[in-house]
Amino acid sequence: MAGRGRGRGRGGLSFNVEALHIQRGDIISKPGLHPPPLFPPLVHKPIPLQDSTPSEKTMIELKQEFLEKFRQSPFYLTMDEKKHEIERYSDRYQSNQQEQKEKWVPDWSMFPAELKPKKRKAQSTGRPNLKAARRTLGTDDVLSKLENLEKSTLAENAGNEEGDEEEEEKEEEDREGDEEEENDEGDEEEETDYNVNYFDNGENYGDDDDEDDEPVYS
Amino acid sequence: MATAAPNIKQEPVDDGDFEGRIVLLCQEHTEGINDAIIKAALPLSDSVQRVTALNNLLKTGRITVFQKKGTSDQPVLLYRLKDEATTAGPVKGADHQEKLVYQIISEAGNKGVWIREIRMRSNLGVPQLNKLVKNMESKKLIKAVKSVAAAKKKVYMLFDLEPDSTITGGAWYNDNKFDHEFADVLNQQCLRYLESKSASAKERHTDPLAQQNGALATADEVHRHITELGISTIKLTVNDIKDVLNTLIYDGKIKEITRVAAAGSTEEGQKLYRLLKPLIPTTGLMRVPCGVCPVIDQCQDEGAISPATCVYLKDWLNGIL
Amino acid sequence: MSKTDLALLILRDFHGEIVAKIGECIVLSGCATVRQVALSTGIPQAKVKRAVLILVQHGIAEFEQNKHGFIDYKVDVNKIVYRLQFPKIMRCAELLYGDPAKFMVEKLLFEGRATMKSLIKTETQRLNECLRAQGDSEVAPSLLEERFEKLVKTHFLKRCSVPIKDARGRAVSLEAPSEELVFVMPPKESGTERVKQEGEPPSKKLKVEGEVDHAAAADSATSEIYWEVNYKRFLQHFRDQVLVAAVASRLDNEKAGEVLRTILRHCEKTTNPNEYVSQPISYHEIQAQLPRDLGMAKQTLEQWLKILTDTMPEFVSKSADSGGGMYAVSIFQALQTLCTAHIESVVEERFGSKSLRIFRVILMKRQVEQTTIEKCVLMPAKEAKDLLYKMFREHFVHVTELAKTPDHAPSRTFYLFNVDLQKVARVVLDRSYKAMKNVVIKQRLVVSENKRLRDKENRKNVVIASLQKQHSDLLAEHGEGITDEMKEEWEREVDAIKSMITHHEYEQLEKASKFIHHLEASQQQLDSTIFLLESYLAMTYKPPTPKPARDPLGR
Repeated sequence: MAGRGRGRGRGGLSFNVEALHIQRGDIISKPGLHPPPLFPPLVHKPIPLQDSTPSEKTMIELKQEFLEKFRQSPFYLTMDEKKHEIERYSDRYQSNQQEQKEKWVPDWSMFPAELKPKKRKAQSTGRPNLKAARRTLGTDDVLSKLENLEKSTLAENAGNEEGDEEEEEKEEEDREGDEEEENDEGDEEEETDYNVNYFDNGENYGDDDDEDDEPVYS
Repeated sequence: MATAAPNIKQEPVDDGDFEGRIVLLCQEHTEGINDAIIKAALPLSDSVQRVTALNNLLKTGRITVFQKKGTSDQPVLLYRLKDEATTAGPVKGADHQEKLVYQIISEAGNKGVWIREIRMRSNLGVPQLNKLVKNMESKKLIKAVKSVAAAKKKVYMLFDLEPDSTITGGAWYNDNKFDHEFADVLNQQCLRYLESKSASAKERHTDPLAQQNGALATADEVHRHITELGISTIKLTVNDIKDVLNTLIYDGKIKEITRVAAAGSTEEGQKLYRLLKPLIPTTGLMRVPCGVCPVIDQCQDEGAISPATCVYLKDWLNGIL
Repeated sequence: MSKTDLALLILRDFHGEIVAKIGECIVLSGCATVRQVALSTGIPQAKVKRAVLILVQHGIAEFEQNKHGFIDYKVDVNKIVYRLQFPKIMRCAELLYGDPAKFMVEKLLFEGRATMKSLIKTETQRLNECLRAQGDSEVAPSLLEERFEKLVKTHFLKRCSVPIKDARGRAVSLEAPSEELVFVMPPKESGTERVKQEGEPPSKKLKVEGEVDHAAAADSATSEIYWEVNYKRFLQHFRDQVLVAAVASRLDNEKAGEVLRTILRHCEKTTNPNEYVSQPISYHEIQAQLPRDLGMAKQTLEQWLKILTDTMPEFVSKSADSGGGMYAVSIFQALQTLCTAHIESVVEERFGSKSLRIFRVILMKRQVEQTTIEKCVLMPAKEAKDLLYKMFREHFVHVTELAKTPDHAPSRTFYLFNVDLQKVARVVLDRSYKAMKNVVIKQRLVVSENKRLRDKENRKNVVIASLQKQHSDLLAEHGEGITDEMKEEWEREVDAIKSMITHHEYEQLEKASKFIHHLEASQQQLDSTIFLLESYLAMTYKPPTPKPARDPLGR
């Protein structure tokens, strides 16, 4: 590279080659090819923090306790329930957190109905009953069992006792996976006005519908 | 007729001396000679010779030409001899130019004029002009003053004049360099004076209004105090002190109050100064490294520059920062 | 926007990953239905519903039926960011109205909202447990009722929004309670579950009774009134504290601050917190309401008022002479001055004191040319230029171009520097949120890096505590039967467990907890910047003025 100039000139170097004892073929690195540092040294340093007053110290403790309380509360959602792989010695002395998780019962009147989890009692609890029903051969028994089944499901549907509901809901969630979601979708449609709106009478034709958010092809 | 005698002398002279004869003619006619007189004096010369001679004389600067209203109300060209004293050899040519340059410089007054401007207005060549200027400097007719605006720029002005403050920068410029240490020192001293005045007012009085009023000071008071301190080698004016006080206002450390003169009094409204206590302590943002961080705009939650990798946060927590 | 990032971080801290993801989804899309959220986040619908329930319960999300008939949910980022103020709010309640108030406010912040009855019941219990543990005597529920009423009367608590029902009795959207009712206590009815909504002014009784009927017709559960913490009121309280502190600092005297506090306390009752200027208060009124223990003479008060109006006209101004002088607080001006002070502090520490001088020159002169700046500032012109351009690059100062010629040639154009306070305030606010976010992330990192150690420490403490309890029980039972040998053995057991953690690990734990405390304290101090800038900018948002109705005659 050295000596190559624009055009045909055989220009000299800017420094004295002999004095530096550079042989032919030596690599001369150009200065300044390194990227600038990611964290350049600070010109102005931050001012030190003010000393915490006792009031501020109590507020820090308050905050940490409050946050801890929240983490233990039913308002903190995790994907799966925590499983302790190894039983620890300290477990004997710590209270069972699981019990508290599902304790919060919302006042459903303040919320949209869709947020209330649906009960699958009619279908899920029906299964073991059917099995039990199959075991008995007598038709009378079957009929009476069917009657009982009807009565029990009606009773369960009517009684919206929240405590039971929460436990059963938990069981349902454990047992059913995707199936429940699809059923949810079906029920949700019935509850909302989608069916009414789907077969529209053409009044809203031409309105700008921004996004079609619930296309369900049954 | 005074012309008679010289004419008789010069008559038998040849061509080359037309110039000499014209010079002699001029010497006699101090008010100037016109072409007609030359013709009369040199009947043997034709117009070409006369013109050549005149041109040579003009070029060498021995005569000057000017116009004047003639007897027949027609403008007439007159030739006059230049002053002997200033026409000695080649320097004579420079004479005219020097006068011109001198004139330009003196017009500039105490603001001075830049060398390039002199060149433009006098139409002289660079080496010629430089020689001229040097000459005049050595003769103490003009002087060069360095401007504070551009360090390389020199302006010339007449020797006796005081350069204007815009060029020298006034009190703040020492050797044409901004003396910011001096300005800072003055800044600190004025502040200290007002601080002590405020503290003593608080001690002396108990009711708040008296405390506030006791902390006030006029520019004159401050000026007096600074002069008494004797920290300044050069003389400072009250206006200089006012400039310093203004910088303190811009620093947000003092406040200016204009006291309106009472109606009917002959005094003007006064400007008073008082120390200002801070409104808030340093804001919270500047107590964490992120406030001073130079790469804050590139900082993301994850990446090369992030809170996890941040060197400043690490050092700050470790107490190094 | 850094504020949104911070809000999502807070959600994650308080409510866990799922709620944070769902919150993020709703915020980023503006509003969303349950179905949309489930689709875009991939979280099962059951969990989505639960998360949305939690968000609505805590007032973070609101719902409304959209034109397709589905329920849209919207998240208010501000409500999430208010959580940073929770410790201050609890402390404030404690200082104002004592422990009962603190417990109740804490519970409300924890639950999001609650009925008065349930609140008083649970908190009396909790308070009494604490008092018992301390050895103090218990309190009656009536004490908490009284404090509750005080909190409502001073607007620190307010009624929640009530759901509007559709034809089938399902809640479809929320309606804020009317101005007259929102801070009105329900009348005391002993023994009954149902609490009627009754307004106080008799003239409004007819209208209110109509509402009562409506409520009665609706589902029985909604006649319970839910209460929530009125964040805006607490923020107003904190704002007043900031103003008082500023005055006390500038005038170098606590008493001056107290004078302002008295005026502001009066304003609490008379003025809407969003007003730019408070209602005036007369001098005599101030004098009457000044706390006795200040011991301020009449004359001193007069002097302070004069000093306030002379030296801090942006804070207090005198509007008339009647009543001994009418004084008003210009809240907006005061906030603006404070905002300027914070920004100046940022400039000083980020760019240096010299830059601060330049910045203030531009502030004071509104529009200046570069040459004027260089002249005023007594600095080498080159240095001044450098610092000015550095501030310009970081958007602290802006430039207006005034062209002398139509071709806008740079040599023939004026370049005027100016400071646009609101723009700069927004830049600084965003940076503050970013800094807060970074500090929170760093804190979580420190906690998680040391989690193993801290868990170990916790377990060790738990075991030791139980062991010691065991030992003390045994001691209590057998008394003299315990030999010294046994005691020694107990000691050795305890020591063995203590040695579970090495000295080096102890040091690390110490360091970690020092870091965490440092980071927490810095969050508190960072909040001072954020709070002030938010308060100021909130006042600058002007709702669009409604267009005047067009006169059909075209006059």
